[in-house]
Amino acid sequence: MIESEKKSLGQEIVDSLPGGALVVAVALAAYFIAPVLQKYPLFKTYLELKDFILAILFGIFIKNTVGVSKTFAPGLRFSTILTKTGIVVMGAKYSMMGLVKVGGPALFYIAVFLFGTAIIMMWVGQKLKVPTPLAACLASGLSVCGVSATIAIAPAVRARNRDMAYSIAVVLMFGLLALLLFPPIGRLLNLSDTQYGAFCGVGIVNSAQVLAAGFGYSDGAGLVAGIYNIGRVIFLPFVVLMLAIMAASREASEGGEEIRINKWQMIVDKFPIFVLGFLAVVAFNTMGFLSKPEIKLAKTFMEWCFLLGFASIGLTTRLADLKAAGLSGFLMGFLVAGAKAALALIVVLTFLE
Amino acid sequence: MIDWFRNLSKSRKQDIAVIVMGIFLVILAKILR
Repeated sequence: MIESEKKSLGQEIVDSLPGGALVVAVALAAYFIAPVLQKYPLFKTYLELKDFILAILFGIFIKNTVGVSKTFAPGLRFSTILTKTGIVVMGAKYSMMGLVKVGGPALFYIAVFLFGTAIIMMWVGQKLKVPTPLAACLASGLSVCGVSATIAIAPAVRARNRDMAYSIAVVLMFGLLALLLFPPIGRLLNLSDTQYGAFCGVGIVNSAQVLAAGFGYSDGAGLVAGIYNIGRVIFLPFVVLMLAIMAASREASEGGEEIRINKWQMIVDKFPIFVLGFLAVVAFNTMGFLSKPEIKLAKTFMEWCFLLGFASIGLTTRLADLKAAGLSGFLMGFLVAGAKAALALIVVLTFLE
Repeated sequence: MIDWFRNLSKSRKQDIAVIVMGIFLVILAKILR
């Protein structure tokens, strides 16, 4: 029996129409305006605003100027679904061999940076006297993934909604800055697709922003960034578990209430199973299931999934959340994220070609 | 089967929807070309 207070599927679809239409409008605006901007020297040479990046920026602009009324909220909730669907379809662009070739080193770099950032964040948080739940949210958000990792860690460390909103805002703001700065840095340093893709995949933590920054540089860089992004997402449950244990032991040492953690259950619950869909599509492609024209059309579907997903990410990014907590959290977030990005750049320049 | 799906968490339902939609789009690309 479906509970009476739950909406029917039909009602859910109807409620989602206004938000869906807004997302489509923003995505179309980005799609048509991006080539026009490319005609101007400023955007052609210095500030490459491809449609993916513009979709996020337009969304953020609308959300934080005229605002987005509650009528649109149900349709905007699909943002994560669309980005993840694009990632599954993106599997059509890889073969198992290519995945292993790029994915092997990617997993290594990602693991070092993820766990390193999370541990450093918790340490810096302690030094700056940031409350443990907020520090854990920021550590999770800035190491693994802004939105999903923050949401994943929040219950385990008993974070308040404000901690979550704040952490997500810091991560998305840093990602926004990276979105604008990374492509010119890449051009300036003449980074190869592999180097730039790895730089984005390690330096940015929100899936939409990683992919937008990657594909904003070139298709090749976008695909490399995509692999790093998946590697990062796979590590989510493990980093969340480590942070939950660290936060629990810190709370206990400070005389707080003991938090019990079911480790295995946490890994099973938080594992991003949509990655299996991506791997299934890679397997189809490796077995020769898809011809070149079919892959090309799949890529078009992927791009539209991303464009729509990115537009809705922008439309749900609230800059005002940054004001919600003190300066220490903001400093902590930007310092660590900036240092991580700088270190990522040094690593890709040194070890990748 | 339906009960199993209903009992899943929201994020799990989302993940399954994502896999179904993603594979559907790949198959659609195959059919349309």
